[in-house]
Order: sequence, then structure tokens, then C-alpha cells
Amino acid sequence: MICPNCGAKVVGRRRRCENCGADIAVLDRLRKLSNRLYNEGLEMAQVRDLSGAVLKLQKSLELNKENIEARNLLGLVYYELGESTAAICEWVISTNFKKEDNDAERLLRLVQADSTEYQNVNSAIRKFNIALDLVKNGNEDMAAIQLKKVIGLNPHFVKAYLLLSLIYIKNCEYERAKKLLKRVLKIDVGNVTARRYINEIKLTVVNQEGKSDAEAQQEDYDFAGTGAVKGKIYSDEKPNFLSIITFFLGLAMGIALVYVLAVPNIRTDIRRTYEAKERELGADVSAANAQKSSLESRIRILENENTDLKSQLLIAQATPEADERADYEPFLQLYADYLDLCDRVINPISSGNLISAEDLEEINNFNGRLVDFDMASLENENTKMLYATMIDVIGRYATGTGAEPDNKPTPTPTPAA
Amino acid sequence: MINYDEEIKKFQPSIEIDEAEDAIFRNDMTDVSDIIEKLNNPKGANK
Repeated sequence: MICPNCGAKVVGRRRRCENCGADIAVLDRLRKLSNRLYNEGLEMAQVRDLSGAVLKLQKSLELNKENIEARNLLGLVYYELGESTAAICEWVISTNFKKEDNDAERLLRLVQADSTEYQNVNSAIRKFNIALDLVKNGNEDMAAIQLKKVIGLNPHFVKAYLLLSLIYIKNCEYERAKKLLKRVLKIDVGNVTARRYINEIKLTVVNQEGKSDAEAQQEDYDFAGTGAVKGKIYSDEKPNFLSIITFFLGLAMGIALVYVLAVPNIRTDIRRTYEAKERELGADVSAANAQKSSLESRIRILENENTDLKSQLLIAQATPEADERADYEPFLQLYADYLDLCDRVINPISSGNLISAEDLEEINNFNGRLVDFDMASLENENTKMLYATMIDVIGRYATGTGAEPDNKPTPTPTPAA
Repeated sequence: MINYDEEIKKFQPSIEIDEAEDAIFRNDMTDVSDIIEKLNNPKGANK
């Protein structure tokens, strides 16, 4: 074991060093405690709790002033807080305890390397001291101007921020003070003074604005120093029924608007489509009906022609020998006139033409001829059938009462066997 | 409630770099081990 006091080798488990007589056990324990405090200080420094780190490291050095790591770290923390002279002091003492292989040498060289920065830091400290004197003499305005310059020269000078924020609080410039204090908390998360000042501002603002205690408790500040105000804690708020009702009302109005504006247009479009289709189909039906009428007329005409041809056939069959033909001349003439009348008048009427007065007169005249014709002169049965047919056809169209013909097709006379 | 005057009193002047040497010499370097040593050896030499 090595004596922690003089560095001499201690044989076995002796309580005291044979060289210097120091109590080894106690010294060893002190060093261990010092190291533990250093470790705790290092953890705090790593999370930017610089105030806490300073306390731990100072305690560590109180237990063991030769704890080089703790002293170097303390110097670094002081430098980060803007206390450059304190930092340099610690590093110089550190190099005094351990000249070789010491980080303090490197840190001192770094600080002194940038002469502009070095001058700025020195100037900032001087101005801060002047500002502090001004404040103590009651000259806060001038002090504020000086402190602004100090912050410009050394943006890490925490004491300058705190003093300036105190001046702002006294002058009721709470927003400016808050801004500065948040910057302090950004540099040093655990700065108790900054937190105390922020709480003071919060309470003062609450009292001035007359907020309720609940609202004041809900407001919180970001102690990490990011400068963001967290604001109200939304999880504690009651659900906003008004906004829910407004949402559903808006939804209902939107649906109603769509129904009123869009649905009629859609219906109109559908109706127009169906009307167009209906017209199309109507046209097709009309065309079909017209075709049907024309075909029916054609059928009637063909049936009339068929009747005529069959009559002609009967006549041909019924035609007597040459010497008897003279007796049938009147009948043949009558039948020829009948055929002519059918062609000109009867067939058109049966096709759908309107019967005119002249046609009716003609039909009636021919009907009269038929009635007056002497049927006794006809002995041939087929001839008699032809005569009967003529009487029937003409009788349908001839009228003394003005009735419309029924346009029925003329019956087909059966040929004689 | 912040007492402005009391708070101002808490602020101490910072040491200027020119005064660093004096500050180092003024620094009390006594630690616990020195105190124990003094207690054990009242006539012992200070470090």
C-alpha cells in the first residue's frame, strides 16, 4: 500500500505510515469520500446543474485539496458560469499540485491563446463590478446599461444576468426579467436564484392579473431553460362541450346544404336521362305503329286484290260460250265498273283515306245500278255469287245515313266447285 | 417576496484577472486531512 500523505510504501496493514506517521486509514477514507463527491459533481456538471456541481466539487476539495480532477472540473464549471478569474485560479493551483500530465495546463493555454476573448472576459468582469457599485448606490438605469454590455462581452456571465433581471423585477419589467432568467437556466439548470426570481415574477403577475389559484398553479415554466412557457396543463381541462356541439351542428348544416343544392341537380339529371330514353322509345313505338298501320293497309289491299283475282277467276270459269256471251255483256260491264270503282274509291278508303262526297255519290250511284240490275238473266251460279259479293261490298260503303264505312276487308267469294 | 436590498447584498464583486495572483495566495488550502493531522500532531508541520 502507498501512503496517501507522503507516497512512501507501507508494508502490510499498518495503521500509520512509518515514513511520515500519517493515519493511513483515515486518509484513505477521506480520499475515497472526496472521489465520490467528485463523481457526483461530474454527474451534475454533465446535466448542466452547474450550481450543484460547484457545491459538490468544493466539498470534494475540502476533503482532499489534492484531488486534481475535482479542481480542474471546478475550474471548468467556474469558466462556464462566467467566473473566468476563479477558473484560472483553480487551474493554477492544480498545476501547482501536479505539474506534469495535467489538463489544467492545457486549459490555461486555451484561455490565454485567444487574446480578444481574454480581454473581453476581463472587461466583462470589470464592467460587472462597476454595475454592482452603481446598483448599490441606487443608480439602476446606468447599471442596466453596463450590465447589457457585460452580457454582450461574456454571454455566459450568470451573475450579470441575475443582477440585470433583479433590476427589471424592481422596475416591474417582468417579461424582460423572465427572458434573462430563462437564459440563466439554459446555462445552469439548477440555479436556485434564477428559479426563485421566476417564482416571484409568476406570483406577482398572478396577483396583478387576478387569476385564480388553480390557473396560477397550472402555469409552469420550462426549468430546462429552453425559454418555452408550458402553459396550461390540458389534461386537467374539462371537455369543451361547446366545440363538440358546434362541430355536429356544422356537420348537420353541411349535410343539409348538400341535400338542398346537390340532390335536386342529381334528380334533374336522372329525370332528363329517363325522359330522353322515354322519347327514344316513344319514337321507336311510333315508328313501329306506323309500320304496323302500313302493313295492315297493305294486307287489306292485298286481300282486295286477292278477292278481285278470285272474282276474275270465277268469271273466267263462269264465262259462257261465245254465243252466250252476248247475254252476259251487261253483267260483265257492271263487273268491270265495279272493279274500276274498287281501284279508285273502295281500296283507298279501306287503306285509311277519308271518304269524300263525290266518292259517296259514286258509290251510291253504283249501288243503285246493282239494285236495278236484272239478276234473273244470270243462270250461272258463280255469276250470282259475284253479284252477291258486289252487293255486299258496295252495300258496306254506300250509305243514306252518313255512317262511316267499317273498312273491313272484302269477303273472298268461294269458287264454284 | 423578493427583498431587493437583501438580494443585492448577496451579489459579490467578481475577481478580476489582475487580482488572480492575490486570490490564489489568499486561498485557504486547508482540507480535512490537514485538520486531522493538526489534531493528531498539534506540533506537526503544515502543508
